[in-house]
Amino acid sequence: MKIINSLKYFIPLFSLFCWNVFALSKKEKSEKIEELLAKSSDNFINLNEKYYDLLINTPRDYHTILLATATNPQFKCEPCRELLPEFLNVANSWDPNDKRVYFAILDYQNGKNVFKQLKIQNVPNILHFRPSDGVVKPDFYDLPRNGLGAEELIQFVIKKTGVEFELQRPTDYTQYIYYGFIVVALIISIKIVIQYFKEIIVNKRSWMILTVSIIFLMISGFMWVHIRHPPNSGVSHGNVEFFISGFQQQYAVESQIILIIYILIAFSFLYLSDKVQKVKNAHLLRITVYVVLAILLVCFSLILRIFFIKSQAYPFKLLF
Amino acid sequence: MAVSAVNLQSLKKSKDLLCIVILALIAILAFISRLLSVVRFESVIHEFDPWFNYRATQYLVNEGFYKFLTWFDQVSWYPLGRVVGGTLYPGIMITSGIIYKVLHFFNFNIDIRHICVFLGPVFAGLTSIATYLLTSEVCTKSAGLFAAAFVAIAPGYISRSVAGSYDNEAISIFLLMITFYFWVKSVKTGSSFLAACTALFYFYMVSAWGGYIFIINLIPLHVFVLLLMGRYSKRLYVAYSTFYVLGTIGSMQIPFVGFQPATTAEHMAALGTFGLLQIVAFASFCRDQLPSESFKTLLKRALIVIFIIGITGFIVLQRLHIIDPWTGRLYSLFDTGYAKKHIPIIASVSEHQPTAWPSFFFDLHILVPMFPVGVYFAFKKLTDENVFIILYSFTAAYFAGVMVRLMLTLTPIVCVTAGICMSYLFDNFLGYKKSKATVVKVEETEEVLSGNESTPESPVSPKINSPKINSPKMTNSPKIHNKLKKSEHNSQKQDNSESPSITFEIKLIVTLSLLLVFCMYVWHCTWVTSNAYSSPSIVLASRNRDGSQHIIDDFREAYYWLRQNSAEDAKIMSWWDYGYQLAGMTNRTTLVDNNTWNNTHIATVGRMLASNEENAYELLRKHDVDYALVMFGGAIGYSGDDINKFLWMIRISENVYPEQVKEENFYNSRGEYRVDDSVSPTLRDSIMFKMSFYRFKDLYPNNQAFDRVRGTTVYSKPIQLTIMDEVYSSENLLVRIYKIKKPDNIGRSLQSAAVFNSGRRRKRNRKSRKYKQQKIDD
Amino acid sequence: MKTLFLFTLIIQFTSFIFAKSNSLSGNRILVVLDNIEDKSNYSIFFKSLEDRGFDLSYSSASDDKLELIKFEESLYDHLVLLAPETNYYENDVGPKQIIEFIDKGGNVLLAANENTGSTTQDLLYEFGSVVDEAKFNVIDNFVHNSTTSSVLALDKLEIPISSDELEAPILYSGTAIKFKGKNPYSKPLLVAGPAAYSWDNSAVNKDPLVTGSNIVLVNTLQAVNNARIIITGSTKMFTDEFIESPVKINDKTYEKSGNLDFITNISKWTFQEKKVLKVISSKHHKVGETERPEYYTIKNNMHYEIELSEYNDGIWQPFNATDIQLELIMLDPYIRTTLKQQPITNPTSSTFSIDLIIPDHCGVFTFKVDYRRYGLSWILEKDVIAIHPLHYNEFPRFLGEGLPYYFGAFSMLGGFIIISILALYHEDDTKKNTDTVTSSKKEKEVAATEKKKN
Repeated sequence: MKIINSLKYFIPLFSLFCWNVFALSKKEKSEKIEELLAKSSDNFINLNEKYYDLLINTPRDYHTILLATATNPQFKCEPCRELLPEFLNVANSWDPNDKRVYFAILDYQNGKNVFKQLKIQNVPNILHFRPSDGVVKPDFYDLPRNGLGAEELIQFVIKKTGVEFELQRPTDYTQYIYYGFIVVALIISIKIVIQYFKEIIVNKRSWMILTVSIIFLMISGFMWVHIRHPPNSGVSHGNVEFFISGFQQQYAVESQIILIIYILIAFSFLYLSDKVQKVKNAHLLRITVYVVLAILLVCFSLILRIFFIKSQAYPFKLLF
Repeated sequence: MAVSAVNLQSLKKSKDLLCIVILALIAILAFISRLLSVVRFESVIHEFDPWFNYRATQYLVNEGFYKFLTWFDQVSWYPLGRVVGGTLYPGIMITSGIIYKVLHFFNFNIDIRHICVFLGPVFAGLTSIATYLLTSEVCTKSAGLFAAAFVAIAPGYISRSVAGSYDNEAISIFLLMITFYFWVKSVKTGSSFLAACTALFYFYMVSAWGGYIFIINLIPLHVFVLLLMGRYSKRLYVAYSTFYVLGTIGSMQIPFVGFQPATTAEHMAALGTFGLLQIVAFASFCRDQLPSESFKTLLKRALIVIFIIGITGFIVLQRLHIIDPWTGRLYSLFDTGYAKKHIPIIASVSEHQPTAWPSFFFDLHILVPMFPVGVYFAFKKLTDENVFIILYSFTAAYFAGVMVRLMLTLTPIVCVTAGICMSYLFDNFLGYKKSKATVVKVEETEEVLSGNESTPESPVSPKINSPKINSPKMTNSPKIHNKLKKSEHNSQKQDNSESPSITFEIKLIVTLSLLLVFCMYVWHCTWVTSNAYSSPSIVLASRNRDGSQHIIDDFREAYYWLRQNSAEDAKIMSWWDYGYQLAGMTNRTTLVDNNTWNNTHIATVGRMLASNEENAYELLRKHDVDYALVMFGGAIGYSGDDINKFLWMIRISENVYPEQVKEENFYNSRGEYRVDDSVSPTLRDSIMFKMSFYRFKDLYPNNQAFDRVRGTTVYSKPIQLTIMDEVYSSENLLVRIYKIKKPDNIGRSLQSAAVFNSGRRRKRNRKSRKYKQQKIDD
Repeated sequence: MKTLFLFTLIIQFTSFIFAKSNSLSGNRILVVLDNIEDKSNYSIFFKSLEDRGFDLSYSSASDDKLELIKFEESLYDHLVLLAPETNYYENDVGPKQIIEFIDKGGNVLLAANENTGSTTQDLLYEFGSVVDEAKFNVIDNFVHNSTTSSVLALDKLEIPISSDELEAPILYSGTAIKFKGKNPYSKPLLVAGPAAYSWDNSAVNKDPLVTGSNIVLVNTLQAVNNARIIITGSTKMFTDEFIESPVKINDKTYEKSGNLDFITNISKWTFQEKKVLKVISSKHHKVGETERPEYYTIKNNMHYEIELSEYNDGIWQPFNATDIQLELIMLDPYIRTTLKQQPITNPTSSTFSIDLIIPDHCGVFTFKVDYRRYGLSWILEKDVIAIHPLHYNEFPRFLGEGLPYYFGAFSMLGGFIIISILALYHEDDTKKNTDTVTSSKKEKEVAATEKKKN
């Protein structure tokens, strides 16, 4: 939800300007609404302030589901754009000839005052007006908790209006074709792969690389990053900090640093335990072993140091 | 050769002796290093679940096995009661029960509590031995010793097996390792006896811990992968068939498991693999019989088709709900966002969170980077058992990444792989005895070879290249790729030429530095054990300024108060975390406890705590509650208190009672969860809030009341509690106990009675009169 | 003759000394009056009480020796409050203490009047009823004593707490009580006629607090601990004047009002002399046993019985009812059934019992008899007992439906044994033999080896 702080500045003082501006008779009102409804391709009414009053602030016998949004790019309201199609899905699954519920959309730049009236601080927002005579206090749809999905939304509508109706998503057959294509392609590719890249598949080295790399990712906490989506790196008074202190959280960059260190240590172990045998030249051997040992100890003490940042109580350290 | 044979024999003997001694020392070390909690505090059962296990064990010992088997516990989950016999894993209770009986048979009159307290450490010792066996099975004895040493003090395992944490995990890690050991060995030798042993220990594992799912999926995976690698062999067939049939029959004997192996999705993999194995066996048999190419291809096609049919059939059955879908806990392992959305009661538990890297390092320290190296070695020589090691490492790593709790299953395999890595490393750098030792190995293998048709491959044996060994290997398992063997050949050749060129001083330095690293490891483990894992969360310790230790014993204080001062059949309402402790220590009836089998009931308790006094009172009366108990850390800054858990309670009960409880009402107008004056009215009226902060500010002069957990001032107006009386608050206000009032004698509402007793006169019928006058006027 | 007279005199004297009332909760009555002189106005009433064996002690509300509770012990068993006009009693004998007195089981007979003091008002408020303002009288222009309209003459009780009818109307003059209807234990006993209203002649502009049959004249309340309370709006009811005075209500005349009769009735009820129930025993057990089991198992046949006795004027007698219900409750009642009265064997008590089948649901159940009837004392008899599921050895064995499975299993066993015997003891070279042993659990394999052999 993008909060529009700027809202309060925009709004002119004569906020409650439009109240029951024109009182139409019931008949012409309904005609008017029909006309509005007809204007939009989908089953919703595109509101502005006076239409809002026409639709909401007059005696009426129908529910109204209002989407308050700000499509104007100046607000950069990402959720608004995501929510709109979902909302339209719900609206379109309602039978347009059924007059019990109307779906309406109010864009910010069409209805600043209405926003002020309803004390809407942030967009998008979905409101439900129950049938009554004159002004009612709308009840808000809890977007933060229910998310932008149409399924939750339609549950809300059903609960409020007490009218059962199904959510009909427009079925696009391209999807099925797409999936079918994928499957076929998969099978074919598998066949091809088995034919031509037999070596690679059968080759244990490739499998080894795969497995070991995944294990590396796991032990350096990438799964945590994947689930929790932490910020990449933080800022503590002025300068960038890579390590957040505290045991149960971390930045995304931490995992990468840790990964590199682990790889270095693992490599040095690998060298000492396996590769060292392949070295023919004695001097070379001596030098490499020392280098590798140095890497090992440095990285190790580095890890200890970082861990000290994570939990201040940690007493041990090596080298630095 | 013949000359050295004699001292080789003696050498071999002394080597085994040394090995045994070291292993014994390691086991003892594993035992001792877990006693810190007892030394620090006292021999007491730790946090929550152990208390139930302890209580159940007492019941088992006192009432006998059969009553235990059909134990209907009417003291918990009032008034539903709990069919304990059918809803728990009896393994650990039975284990300590048997130990108890045996000791008493020999007239060692040990209190059952001590057995329960020290069971964890004892089994830790056994675990290190089991790890040794497993590792030495897939690698060398030296690797085994390393692994045993690692696992003996690895914090990741100590966390669950310190003295006093009398929990299923304490024994089941041992069972895990021993089962895998027997499995690997039976695959290696193809003896149905060993496979039967595997099944036996699997059965034990099933009886002990829900984690048996890991075994029953990992082993079939192993089999399946072996089949894919084209490594089908009679040994595999015998091992798996025996294991699966016996193991399944065994596991069905546990009431809690019952028919799940036949009905639930978790077990289907094993079943499918079993079927597949039969087909493959039949196919290979036919292939031996009729050697026509076309038929073989036909078979291959048939296999693939059958396999696909099996998968689809499984999916269809699951759709038709003939096979139960995965349990939420398991499902949340794969769809990581699942639990938070659908099952808050799982998401609420802290040990179901994903694992950040510090936890890995904290629990495994230097072993973490060794882990992949060990896996690399497993790949390098791709024997059946190494395939198993690889699979185990891979899956365990993934699960540990998703759930902190499963760090437990990761720890042993990390120790194993690290042990392998170290053994290779020291084979290079402490290589004096190597030549002789390996000669010994060679002879061993020769002996084995003559009798058995399979070769136990040890990593050192190829180093001195003897065609004697390789030739039978080719004949036995022809499906090993030629590449593999080639690589081995040339590597072996190099070894022979190069190994001497590692001079003494290199060896010295490398060894010393590695010793340094391991010292760090040992220090780390000891530090972690003493600081993090050996505090029985039922007794809290804090350090004073002068560094002396200050024990906070409020829990037991309060529980004992209840035990002494409440009626025998008093019903006590608290959040489920404390259910087991209450039942164990106060011996009173509780409404809900840590065995969260009935979500609705828990939600009801949550609803009581979340609703205002009138509504709460109805519910409390309906459940015959006598006492209500809350944890409040605000006075001493104990962050795990009920106000902090409250949001979870609300979420849980909102799942069941979406109308009555709404989470958003508990945030104030700014959408924050506050306890100071900006508290939301709903939260302010909830009895949880009232019970927590009732007369809290009286502790502080002139309204300076400060909540040390939330770090805010508290709600400044006085809090009225009319439906209950405060009867006890522990020393640091950590536990607060309230007694629910009886309904008023002359039929007033408790609120008005309270107002009356508080002495304030109330305005009487004037109100109604005035109202009437107004109506008359206009 | 003389001796006889003397003897009877002694008899009477002793009987007077050791007079024992029929009240179950003791016979110490404290009468609180506005001022002690009023005592003479109520002489008949008090006399009747004394005749029933109570020993009365009188005190004026403003008497500084007035005490109700001393050392946590109530000094009296019953309380007659005929002091409505005093605002504050001495020694803070206020509403608080009186309610405490009730909580300790004391019974209260309370009368208000036209200008009720604050103490009585507070008390009434706690009892869930409200008296009208000062100087308001209940007036009924149709049902009143011929002399003055402010004296009501009523001849029917709203809900009689005593079975017997009134033979003469009751004279009532006083304020109106409004029953707020909140209190579940309170019930009006005597209400005014439909045309009645509450009126203050001096202040005409106010409208009455209550009118018609909403005006409660006498209200009863029975607390949870069966303490009984009578509230009335008129002190005059109890005066000798009203008791004695003749009644003339629309061309019917009675030379004496029914007040004494009525007062006697309600005071008997209030002071626990009648309509008192008690549970003598209640027990439940499995059919065919006699002892209460440690627990029941689902679908047991069980027998429940409860023995009740009713107290009326000094004698315990069998209690007759057809509406006593037993409930088996676990959160919600699983069974609610009416107990059947057994033919009376015991002269002092009657038994109600039933046989029923335990519900097919395990849990901790409450067996509860909760009998509340207006006028009778409240009976609550509950017992908490667990209902277990079937134990491991209580399930039926060898079901008929299971036969195919049994057959399958045993045939499998047999076949397995036979085939392994065949496999083990037929001539073959050792190599294959080991094979078959290791993999002998699949007949397929074995059959294969045999086929191979042939």
